[in-house]
Amino acid sequence: MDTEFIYAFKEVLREQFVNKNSVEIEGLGTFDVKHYEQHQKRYDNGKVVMMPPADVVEFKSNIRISYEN
Amino acid sequence: MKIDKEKLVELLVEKTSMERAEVEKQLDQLIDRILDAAHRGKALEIKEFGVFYFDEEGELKFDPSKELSTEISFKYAGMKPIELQPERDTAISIGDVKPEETETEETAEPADSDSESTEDEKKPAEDDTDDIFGIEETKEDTSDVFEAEDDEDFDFLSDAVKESETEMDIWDEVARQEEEEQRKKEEERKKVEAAKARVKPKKKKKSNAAIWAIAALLLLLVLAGLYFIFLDNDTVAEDPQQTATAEHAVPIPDELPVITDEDAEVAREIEMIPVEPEQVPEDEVSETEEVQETQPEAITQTALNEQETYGLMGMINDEANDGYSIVLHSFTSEDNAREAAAHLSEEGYRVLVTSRTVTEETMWRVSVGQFETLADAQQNLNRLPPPYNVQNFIHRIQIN
Repeated sequence: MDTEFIYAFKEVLREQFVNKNSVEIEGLGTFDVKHYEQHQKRYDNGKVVMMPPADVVEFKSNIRISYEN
Repeated sequence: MKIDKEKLVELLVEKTSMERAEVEKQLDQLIDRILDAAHRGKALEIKEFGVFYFDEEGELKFDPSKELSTEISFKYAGMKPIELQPERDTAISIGDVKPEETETEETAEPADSDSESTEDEKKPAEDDTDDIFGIEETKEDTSDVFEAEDDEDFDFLSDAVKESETEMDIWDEVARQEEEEQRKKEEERKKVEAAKARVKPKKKKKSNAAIWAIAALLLLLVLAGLYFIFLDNDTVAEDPQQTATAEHAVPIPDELPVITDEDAEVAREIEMIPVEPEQVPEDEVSETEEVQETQPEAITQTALNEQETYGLMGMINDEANDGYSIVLHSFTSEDNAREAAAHLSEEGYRVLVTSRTVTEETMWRVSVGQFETLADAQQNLNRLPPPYNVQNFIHRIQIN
């Protein structure tokens, strides 16, 4: 696995995320870009803040591991 | 749009000089490595991308790196949580205290001096226990019963009580004078500040200290009331100013109506903040030109050699095109982009004009500076004049 590939991989995914495309990689999982509107949030100390909007990348995978052994 | 593995491989082939088969092999290897590392209980980090690992529940997770998160959320870069001020509750203090205030003045205070002092004289020695303990009038009944039962036990107190009583009479006089002064003061105050919050009526007390305490409390509360009213006026007066200046600060685009926002969808989502300024100052519009090729004559070739690889000002350095740049404008028309770029480069900035395809539309981005890292670019944001210092975003330079 060479660095050129890794670099290209990062670059391609980054571009797709910025364009709000979801990327599905079989055998690994799906990357999704989700948008969060601004929202109010209350901290534990009672302070109420307005959180700014954000685009967040989320990863979902069907791959599970069991820790039984 | 959804990119599946097929499409991803295509994009990777496009990006690299590798064969399709090679790319597929590499991708499979990468997946294997991620899973392998995760299975061994380790997290695999792809630098500047993120970390893959299994969480406590055995689910494969991915945490994007700081760089990736910033780049994806570039539109909101630098926005921080804003603390919301709870509303001030002025109504409660005024509304609750005021009705009681009238009672204080008319009933409580005169009763204090008159009724009690006369009672003192009426039952001097026999009811002393009241005086010495400063027990209130309302408790007389109980103390009477008390006395009937334990009359003898209290006799030893009476001498001391008598002594203190003469003293009390003197003090009562002093107290009465003070009370009168107090009443005068209060009337004055009442006239001046009708809406002030004042002390609750105290229970009748005989002791001088209590009167002093009342006086001190009154004074404090009045001061506090004044202070809060003063504060209120202050904040009320300030607020419109702030909004007014804020309105001024937002530039109203009156030129170049053709220019549209980069991403129509995004624009709907973030109506509150115009991320990309869409106006070009009228007086600075000049001839359109290919910025990357033609530079202002003042800057010579030697200057290019001397300047650092990365930076905000100066000339475009092709070697620095692997970094980040601050986008100030985004146009659908190339001509408009070139125009904006021309006057930015006149001001000495390194200006890049690049095109990107966003939601199937070609956008022409005008950006300034070449920075090695995102952090460098962010540090340079505050060097930009308004409105650019707030209306911008950082992107990775990609020369077409």
